[in-house]
Amino acid sequence: MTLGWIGEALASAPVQHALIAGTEIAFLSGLVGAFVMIRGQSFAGHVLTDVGTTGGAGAYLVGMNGWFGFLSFGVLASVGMELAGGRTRGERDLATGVVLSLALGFGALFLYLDAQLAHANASMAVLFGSLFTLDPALVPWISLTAAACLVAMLLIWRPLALASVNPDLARVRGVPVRAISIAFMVVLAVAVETDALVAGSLLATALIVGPAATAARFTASPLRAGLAGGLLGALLVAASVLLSYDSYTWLPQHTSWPVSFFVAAFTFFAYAIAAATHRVAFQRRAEVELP
Amino acid sequence: MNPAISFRDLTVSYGSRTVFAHLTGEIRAGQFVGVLGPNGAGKSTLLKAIAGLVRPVAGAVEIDGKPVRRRNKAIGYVPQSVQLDEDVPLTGRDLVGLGLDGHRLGFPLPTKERREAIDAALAQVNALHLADRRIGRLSGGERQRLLIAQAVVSKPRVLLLDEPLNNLDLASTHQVVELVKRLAHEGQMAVLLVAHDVNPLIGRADEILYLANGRMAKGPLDDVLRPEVLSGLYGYPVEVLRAGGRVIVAAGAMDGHAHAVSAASPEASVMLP
Repeated sequence: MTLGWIGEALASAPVQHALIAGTEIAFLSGLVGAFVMIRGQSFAGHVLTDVGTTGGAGAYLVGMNGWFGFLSFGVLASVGMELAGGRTRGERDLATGVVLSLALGFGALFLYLDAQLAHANASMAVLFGSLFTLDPALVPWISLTAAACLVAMLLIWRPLALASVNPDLARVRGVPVRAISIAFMVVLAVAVETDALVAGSLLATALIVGPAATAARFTASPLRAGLAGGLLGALLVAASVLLSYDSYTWLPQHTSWPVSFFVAAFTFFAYAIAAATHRVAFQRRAEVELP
Repeated sequence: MNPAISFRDLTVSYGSRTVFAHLTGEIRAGQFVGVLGPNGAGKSTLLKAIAGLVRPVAGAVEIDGKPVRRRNKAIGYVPQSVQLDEDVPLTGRDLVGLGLDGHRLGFPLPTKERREAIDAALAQVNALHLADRRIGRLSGGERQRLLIAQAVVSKPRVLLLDEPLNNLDLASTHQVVELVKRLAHEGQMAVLLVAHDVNPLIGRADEILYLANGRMAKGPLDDVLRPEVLSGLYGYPVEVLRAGGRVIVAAGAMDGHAHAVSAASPEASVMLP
């Protein structure tokens, strides 16, 4: 087997755009994922993709770019959830659940109307991703947004960590706990909703929780887990984009397999291998320690 | 010399409900005070008012003779617990480090001073061996000791602990109270510890601050936990039973029986052994 097809893939403009946007947002997602673990907010991540589905489907309906639909609904929902939620995790989940059901209702309506009125392909793009049909004009904006969120995450790293584990001490030390929680939710929304372009809204959270959780198997440091998770996510997305491009030749009917399939498969295998290696290492250590 | 904590005429309300009114008291450096009282009496609210997190409708709080303010490194605050799943990437060292510089922007750079300060705080709570363990894999008592290290790593003058003994087993409870006592006396910190049960504090706390019915009584344990003092606070008869060195506060004998008993508060209904 020759690897000439990789050079051919890299020469294609849609592949270049997909690689740039996809890896950048995957890196941000891994970094954000470390804090999603610390804050126990993976449920909120799922809700944001569901709400994003509504925004994305709605955007196609009015002829807007899908990314703006995803993003506007996601950011609104993230701020809304943070403002409406109570102080305890339970109250927060309850508020989240209420937002979720309303959003899913509208999402169902918009997807149905999309299929009936506007784009026959809209629901496929919203649910399973549309990385290869990305508007080239959008790529710089995605890069800029991802970079801004990355800088924001590194800036609020410590106060966000303190506010997550001991909010009262954070307040005593002058950390604006509310504002910083909202800032994190907005960054999470940006990451999740842009992941929806890559992997579709059904699988967007895979890039948030998967790589970070995999990295956390090997390091107990939040910063290292975040950075390693980001690199792993970027790698998985790059491999997925290339394989999706190549998959065009795999079946005689000549049809590309969706990027989201490869992302989900790679994420799962990375996590499974990490879990297995970890277990083996742990058992060996236990055997030595026990008399 | 100014007391480490002093509050005058302190009144806190949530909406139209007054939690407590006109509380006045002071705690000296090196003094370990246990805060007791029934649920809803405002124990945690008093702590938050002293920390400057709750704005009183009347009265004032002073730390070292100066009005309490935000951005305060002179106050350490220990919450009830820290809940993390076992795989979450956050170690004991990370947790303690946040008490040192968690209010600063950016991410922590590993300097020698930072490492030494964290090691010193870990050593103070006998938790050096927990430095590189994940928080989610530790026991309740181990987590509580790390939270105390997080609160004292910035060398505060005042240490506030909000129900740190909830969810701890008996051995850990005694270990944590003993540790807090040592920190207060050796580190010359003014310490307020909110608890449900008076018994772990017997012989360890220097004074008891008992809150009930919007009022407070403060003094040595034997002066405060007396039927006439507590009955005066609650406004109805309260009995203080002693058995085998343990203390039980019981709602009064209005119908001839002492009932609805707990170790510290007549409103709970748990009988402790």
